[in-house]
Amino acid sequence: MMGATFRNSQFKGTDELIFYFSILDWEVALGIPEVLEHILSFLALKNRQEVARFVCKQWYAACKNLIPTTHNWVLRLTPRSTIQDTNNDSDVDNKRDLIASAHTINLRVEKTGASYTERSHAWLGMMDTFSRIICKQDNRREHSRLRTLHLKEGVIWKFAEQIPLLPCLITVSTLRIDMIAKWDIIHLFAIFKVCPNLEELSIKPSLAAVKDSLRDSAVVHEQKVVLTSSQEYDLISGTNALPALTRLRTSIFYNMTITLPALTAFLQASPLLVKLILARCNHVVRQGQDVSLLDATQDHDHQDTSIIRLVGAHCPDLKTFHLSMSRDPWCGLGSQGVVALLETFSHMEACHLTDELFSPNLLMGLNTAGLTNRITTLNLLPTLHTSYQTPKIPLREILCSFEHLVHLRAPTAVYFVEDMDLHNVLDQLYASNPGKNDDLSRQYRHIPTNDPVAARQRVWACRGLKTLHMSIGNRVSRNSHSTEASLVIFGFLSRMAPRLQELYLKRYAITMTFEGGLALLTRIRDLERLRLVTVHCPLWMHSDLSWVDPNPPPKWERLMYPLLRPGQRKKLWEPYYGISRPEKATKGSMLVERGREFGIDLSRVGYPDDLLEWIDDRHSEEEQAPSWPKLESFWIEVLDGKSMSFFQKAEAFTRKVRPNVDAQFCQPQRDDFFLTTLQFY
Amino acid sequence: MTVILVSSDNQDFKVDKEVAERSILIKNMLEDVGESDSPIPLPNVTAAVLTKVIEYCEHHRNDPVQVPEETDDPRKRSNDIEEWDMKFMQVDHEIILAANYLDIKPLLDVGCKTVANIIKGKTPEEIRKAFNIVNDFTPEEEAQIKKENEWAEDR
Repeated sequence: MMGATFRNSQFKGTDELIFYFSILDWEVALGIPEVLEHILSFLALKNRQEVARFVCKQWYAACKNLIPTTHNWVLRLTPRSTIQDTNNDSDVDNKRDLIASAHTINLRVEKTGASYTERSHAWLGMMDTFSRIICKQDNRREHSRLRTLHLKEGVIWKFAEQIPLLPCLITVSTLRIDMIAKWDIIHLFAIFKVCPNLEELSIKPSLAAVKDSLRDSAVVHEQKVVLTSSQEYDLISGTNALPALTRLRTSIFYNMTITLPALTAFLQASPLLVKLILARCNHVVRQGQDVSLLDATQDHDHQDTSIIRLVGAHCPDLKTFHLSMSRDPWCGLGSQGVVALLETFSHMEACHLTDELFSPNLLMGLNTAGLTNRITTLNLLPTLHTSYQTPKIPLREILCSFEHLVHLRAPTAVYFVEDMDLHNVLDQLYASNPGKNDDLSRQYRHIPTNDPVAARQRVWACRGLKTLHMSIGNRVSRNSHSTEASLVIFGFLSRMAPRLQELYLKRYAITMTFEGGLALLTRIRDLERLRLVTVHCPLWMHSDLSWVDPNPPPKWERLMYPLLRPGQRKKLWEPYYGISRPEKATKGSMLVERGREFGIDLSRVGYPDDLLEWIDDRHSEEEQAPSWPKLESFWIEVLDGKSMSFFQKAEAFTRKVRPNVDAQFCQPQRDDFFLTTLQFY
Repeated sequence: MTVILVSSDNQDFKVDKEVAERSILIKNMLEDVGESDSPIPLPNVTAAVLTKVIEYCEHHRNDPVQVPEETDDPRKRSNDIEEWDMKFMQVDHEIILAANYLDIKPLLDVGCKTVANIIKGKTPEEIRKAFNIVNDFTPEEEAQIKKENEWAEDR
């Protein structure tokens, strides 16, 4: 059969391809374990389990190798266990199978008080075991499966001493180190020596460590290295120099201390980087025996720009780049740095900045440089876990000027409800019926409805927005009319961002009653993920969420549906007594006109008529498509736990009517730093 | 800048450095050698195959570099093959070996996807027949595999 082809094969369709393949070649190609595994990796797990593993023993072994397995290995710090872990052949044998079969090893540390010596002893024992297992595998020419090594928080307490003790892990492509402490770029040399084939290296804090650091500031130790400039030079250019990191694509470094010579060496070695995150870093200069920090008192714009240009010169293919320097009390880049970043990476459509630095001046600079039109993704993420709101970010201006924006993640940036109240409905309400605790000393600023400039500054330019994370605040503190304010917010968003797929809103008080208008968001047909975070949530009934049911209720149940009866419809207007009707108030409004230019109807935003229109649409005689057909998650997080019993009922109801949706009604579990920044970078 | 590649049957190929560097093996060789006009021998690739490999690299010279997290997770893998690549794979069949040797991951992926698509939908017996594989399981071993517990995705 040598050299024979499948010209007479019974197979058709894609099998025709095989007509040209000779059996001999396939015997050779499929005889190479890596190639066979690679081919089988493109099959579904089910296909591998039910078909491929029955072909022959070689295929069976390859299929087995492709099952992802994880081994959790605990570094025990008690003196007794430390002795057990050291130089013990039976321990090596016990561990060998587990480690040899693992795709992923998670190294955790047992949380007990232990002295520095005990910790070092335990690490030495564990690494001795690890090295002997790897060595035995190599001697037997076994095909190692280890791809991912994850060193969990607390495992590394002394980079310089611990990392060199790891065995050489040539198959490891992903190394993750959870660490909150500051560390030096010089440690990268040790890491790449033991893991020369990394594709992803991530050194960043875990949520647990961030929370621990809040309770106990002593948790944050610094991974200091005492290095003179000549020692650093020797390390960079000597025998310890970095190997060519041709596979490295992703590097995520938090709290790293950078020196320009070491960064240059790292970038030169890894020209194919696609993602580089340098978050909350320090820039230092080693001069002789001294190490001096370049801080805010120096020309940091110049320093940051030099780093950006350096990265641009060595990594032209970079798609994601974030640089933020830790400078008390703020963290981030200056305007010059941001402009330099966008100019250096002229192909980049995504801009990843910290939440603190996007100022109106910066926006003006970007506009002048013609850079706003290019950006499709703008991430203004917090790099501090304490960030809650950053009201100075010109969020409205961004949304009204970045025409091509598709993803905006700015969870701490504030959009003011006054800018959503296009017809000054709330203003009229406060004037005619002020609340007891309202701050009346400050005047509400009207939106001029007949001013085309004001209209351009209120109607969003980005019509294709798919992701939106933001906070909503009040320019003037008012405690009354929160339901009416919610109706303004949801009515505005449902009209302004009809293509949203992910919406994350944070606001001090959100009204969940039907009159609050959350149902209006069902106009956003493609919505997949909704998350609302609030501190205070006025009492509501879970029946207020009956609209969450994807299908309108049958006709006989409709009388029970909120606000369907004519009398109740009239009641919707009661709180708005004295307010002029929308037909009259919005006549000639430039805002409505501007909306029409974009194909959106803004004439009812903020009025009860917006909700009445939604009800009529939903219960019209025409058959309606199910609402939110793509919804995946629906999270309502309320800090004030008084209404927990309501939450439970609402969650149970939502899960019943939308069994495939991840519905959560709970107190906020995660902060923005963890949920967005750490997960995104 | 151009480099000269020499096939196993001693044919020279003058190629743009940028194109040749789609191969990680060649890229590493060039970095090791530095600035040099010396031809690069490729003893495991015939002229016929090398011609095809160069054609592939030329066609994909402006492709972005693959992002590992998008492609290496088996759960995210797509078996879609671009039309040009599918036609390309129809013509020559030793490319998988060459792609593996030259370390050209996108080309290896295309080749392996092509074979995976052929395997899909077949019974074990049909696969054996297609690739001339001998069933080396005893009936007892085969029964034992069937009895094995279902393999979990993330055990």
